[in-house]
Amino acid sequence: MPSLRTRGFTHYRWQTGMTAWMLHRLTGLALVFYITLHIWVVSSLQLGPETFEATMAVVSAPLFRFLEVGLLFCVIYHALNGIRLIAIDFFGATEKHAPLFYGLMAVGAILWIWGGGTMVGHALHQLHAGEPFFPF
Amino acid sequence: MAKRTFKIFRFNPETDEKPSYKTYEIDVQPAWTILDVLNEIKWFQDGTLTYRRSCRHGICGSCAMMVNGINNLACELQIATMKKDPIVIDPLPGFEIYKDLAVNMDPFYEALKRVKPWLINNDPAPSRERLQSQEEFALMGNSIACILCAACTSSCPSFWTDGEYLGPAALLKAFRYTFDTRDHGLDQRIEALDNKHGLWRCHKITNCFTACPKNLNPTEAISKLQKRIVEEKL
Repeated sequence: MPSLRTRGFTHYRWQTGMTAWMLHRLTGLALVFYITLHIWVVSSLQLGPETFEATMAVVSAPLFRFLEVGLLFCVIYHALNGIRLIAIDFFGATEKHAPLFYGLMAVGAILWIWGGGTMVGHALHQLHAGEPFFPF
Repeated sequence: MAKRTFKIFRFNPETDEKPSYKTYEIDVQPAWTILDVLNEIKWFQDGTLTYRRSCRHGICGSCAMMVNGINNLACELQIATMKKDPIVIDPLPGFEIYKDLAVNMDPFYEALKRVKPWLINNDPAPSRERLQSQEEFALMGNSIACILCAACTSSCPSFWTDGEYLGPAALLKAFRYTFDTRDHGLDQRIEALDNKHGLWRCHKITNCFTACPKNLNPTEAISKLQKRIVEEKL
């Protein structure tokens, strides 16, 4: 007999809680990937100041500025949804979890547009100054 | 009387290779529930449709199924509250399918047994009942009202990916006895609760909370139980 166990993922309605959980997972994975990359980049310092400067020149290119806007999204989302999870776990907020989610996301959107706008502005400035988009 | 369209999950593992949906047009009376529609189909239109039902007033928990993407009791869900056609009816997700809307509930009952859902108290029985104050009773909240319909466990993505996960219903039962001041059985339950198929697989997705037809709150119960286990271990 086929179990069809996981058909919930495709057939169950994606309500706030399930969507928030999935995004929390995905942004969490993205952050793990970023931290690994970050440690690897910073570790080039062991190879001397020249290597470090060269590596930093690569990761300061406009491409990475745009990727950092995505990183900022992951950090803000993961942090704010984390606050919601703490509220559920420690302050009995389950019944109010959905409005809490949308409230926090409104705050997150403001932070992201503010921070991301600054970063995009900086990248555009670099492109105007003639820096290539791809550093490679 | 109003004509409504129902798209119902059909699957007979003995004859079908894969599941399909069959559409039925039904004249619905104003006060009908989903269960009334299923009965109308089975009794008068298509006797091959299989589903479970028993008490038809929301206390036996037999007729839990997924309606329009959310688990609920077929006998409690009024057609009049659902404006859009077709109304899609699926079996509870996360379980093996016996036929159509009837699923194999064994993993659900196995999980329940693992948390020992009964009063554990080896003190000599008093001559009358073991008394509780209203404050002590309030610690259990409304968790005593669970009807074991499996709407919550079957709505839980953690359960979909780990069939051995205790699931919200069994954890709610564990909460109900752990927070019962007359019960002394936590040390006998802790092994089932504190492992990779236990408490810690709950990610506060809250599907169980929105699915429960009795408006119980397994998510909060699990949070309280997690805190209690941490305190116990420290």
